[in-house]
Amino acid sequence: MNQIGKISAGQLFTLAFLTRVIMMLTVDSRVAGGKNLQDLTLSALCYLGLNLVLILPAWFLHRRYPELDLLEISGYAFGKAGGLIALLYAAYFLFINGYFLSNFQLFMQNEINTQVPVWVISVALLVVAAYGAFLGLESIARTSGFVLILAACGMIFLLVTLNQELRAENFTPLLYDGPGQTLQGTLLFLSRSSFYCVIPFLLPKTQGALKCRYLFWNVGLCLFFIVMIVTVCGTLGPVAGLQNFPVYTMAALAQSGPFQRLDAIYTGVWVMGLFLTTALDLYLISLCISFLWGKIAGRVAILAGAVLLVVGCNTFLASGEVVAAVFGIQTILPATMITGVLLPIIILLAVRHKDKTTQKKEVR
Amino acid sequence: MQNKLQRESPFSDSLLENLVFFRQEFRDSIDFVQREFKIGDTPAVILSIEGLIDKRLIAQGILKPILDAPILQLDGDAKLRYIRDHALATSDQIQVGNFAEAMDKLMSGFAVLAVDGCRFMIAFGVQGFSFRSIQEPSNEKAQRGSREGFVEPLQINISMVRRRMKNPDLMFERLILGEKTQTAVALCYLRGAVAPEIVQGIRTALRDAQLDTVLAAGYLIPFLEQGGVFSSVGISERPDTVCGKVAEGRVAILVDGTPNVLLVPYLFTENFQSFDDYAHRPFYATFTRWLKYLAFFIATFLPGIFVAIGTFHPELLPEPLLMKISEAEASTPFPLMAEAIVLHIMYEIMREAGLRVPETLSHAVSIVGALVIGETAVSAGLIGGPTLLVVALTAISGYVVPKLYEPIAVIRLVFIIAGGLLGLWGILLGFMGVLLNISSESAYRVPFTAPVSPFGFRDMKDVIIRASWKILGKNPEMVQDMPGSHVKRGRRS
Repeated sequence: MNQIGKISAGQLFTLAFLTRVIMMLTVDSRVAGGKNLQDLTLSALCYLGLNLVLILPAWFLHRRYPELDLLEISGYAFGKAGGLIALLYAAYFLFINGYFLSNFQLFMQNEINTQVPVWVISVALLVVAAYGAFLGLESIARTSGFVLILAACGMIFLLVTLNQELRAENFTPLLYDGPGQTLQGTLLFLSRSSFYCVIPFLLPKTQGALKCRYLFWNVGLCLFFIVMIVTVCGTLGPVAGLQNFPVYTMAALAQSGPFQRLDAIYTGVWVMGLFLTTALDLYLISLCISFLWGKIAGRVAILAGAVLLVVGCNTFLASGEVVAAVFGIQTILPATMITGVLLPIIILLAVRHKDKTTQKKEVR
Repeated sequence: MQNKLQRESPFSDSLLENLVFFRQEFRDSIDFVQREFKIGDTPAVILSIEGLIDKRLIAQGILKPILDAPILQLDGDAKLRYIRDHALATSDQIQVGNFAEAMDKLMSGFAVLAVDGCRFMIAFGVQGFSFRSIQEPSNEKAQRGSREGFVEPLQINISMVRRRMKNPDLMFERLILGEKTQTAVALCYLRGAVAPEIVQGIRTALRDAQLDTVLAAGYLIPFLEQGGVFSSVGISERPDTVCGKVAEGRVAILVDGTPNVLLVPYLFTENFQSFDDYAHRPFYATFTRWLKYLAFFIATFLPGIFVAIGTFHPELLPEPLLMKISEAEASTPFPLMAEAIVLHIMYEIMREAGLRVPETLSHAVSIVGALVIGETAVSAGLIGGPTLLVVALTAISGYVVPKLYEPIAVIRLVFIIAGGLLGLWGILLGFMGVLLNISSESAYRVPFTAPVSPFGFRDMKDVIIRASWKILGKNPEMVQDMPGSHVKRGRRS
């Protein structure tokens, strides 16, 4: 029997996998370096190793207080000042989602000649994502189960179709241009790892074999990254480095039977991943706000968050230059590391200190 | 209020006073029958409702034995006790102590014997009303299964279930619902298999239902489900299906006067299961199961995808196919979305008309639909041939999964509009919305989408495939054991 309101470890990491998949699908050659994309396979391996280490602060917090989320623990550690942390996290989720959404909008504007205005698609996406956030974590997690099946089928079909396009001569030796590309790729992956910030909120709402599933998820994610990079490089060769969205270019080359282009699968998987990420982020924003001002404020925050995202992404984040400046690795990486790693460490130290002080008082 | 209090009050020992009450309640209704006679010198009466009872049974089984019996007792109370214990041979007799009980029995087809000087009455089960004979259910036919379907009287439906499940743990619980109709409803479940929380939840939901009338099982559905696009309450007309579901830990709700039995909790994947699946060989059953999944996707998404691709993404189609479609659509005056919506609505109108018109006229409706509207609209250049083909294929596919027809018909229209306005983006986001909606539903704390999400590998033996009975028989799928379920199986008391 399961506890009400909790999701299983399998669901948590399914959700995590799908929201991370868009990291790979949206690899931008300009941001990733673009000299030798094949080196990103090494970045994926480094990312795997770092994932195992950087998750530890959140894990230790969960082990200490298995029933409390990060906000409740920070409230215990800092009292009213814990509210500031809630605000900080809400701002981060809004920021990182703005990054993912504006990236998607730029892709739509520059790569796809769509007859539907991009802002209309964004609004529709945010309406559905806000609906998901209203329904709550269990609904989002269950939806991710279906999306995983669809995404897996789509990606496997795409990769099998592209198999005949792979050319051995397209591959170059690893680290041919030095370790710069690997480092850049690792930083890119790390900067987009909003999962570190999400997991301290979701662990107390999860039951099941967490360690085993986490390892499985990490290895699965790394394998997915490697397979995608190898296919992109093997299909496109040096051209991959010149593409804004090399995975999309690769998907556009694929064709099967009556279907002339299979890039619809790529965009479909991206939209599904983006929808889940947005729904989850809006849900977490509502958690942060309801921690401060109650449940109704949390519900309003979902709508307010969605409106802010639409307006922001269609006004000052509408141009590529602004997006590159606001959402460069130099801004996202520190934001992710501070909220995902540093803050949990500070909270962990603070609660340890508080527990020790309390214990000493009790002994006296 | 005063009337209600009076009904709950015990009988008077004066037969006349009791009869006055009954006459007042029935207000000289023509079907209220009272046969007065004497037992020795004591006045007595048999009350009944015309049309609900078997008159011959009353004459031979009640009146004759009473009149023939050597009743020597002097006071009415002793006389009726003697009759109850020694004179009558009827097996179904119940002692009633107040007016409410007596009225309930009368309206359920019992005859009530009252004797002057006695403060209780005896009700005899002499039901003899006419009803539709047991037939094969027209909405749920099976190639290899029983030909019996539920009928209207509750008691007969109960007996049909009991006959198939000879198990003392099979329980039937009676509830009376509907302020005005006082409809009898039976909860049917298997003790030890069902989760007690589920039974309690259903009981509470039904008792709390504020209804004046309960004339069909459908009246109760809103009180048993969460209200998503797809219903978490199943309906069946087949006793064998109901027995199968009850054995898996579900509760069946039988409503007097309707052949439709409600099944709770009912999961999304069950809409694709039919009785024949379990009677056919596994490989064929698996094949038909996949056909149903495919038909569901065609019925729901095909018109929307067709409109989306035709309007916004023609580059996805191979050139020869694209040329054919654009050639056909070039001569029509309406956009693709308008065509699809009009055809879809026209089809639904014809379907509704087909359901309501007398059988003799249904052929005429089909001819008008197929020839006049379909053929003529295409040849007149009002509607494109490919659109008509897509809508026709969609309509036929909808009948492969009849349990989902209602939601499919509405969602299809939504997807046509989404595809026509936003292209494949609209379809995809609409699909996400539907997924979210069904994922948020729980059927009495069992996830509606189980065992697909939350995923249960063991349960895939009746979802992805239909495994052989050698496997299914070993570990029957209990609804409360589904992944993500918040209830657990009860113990046999």
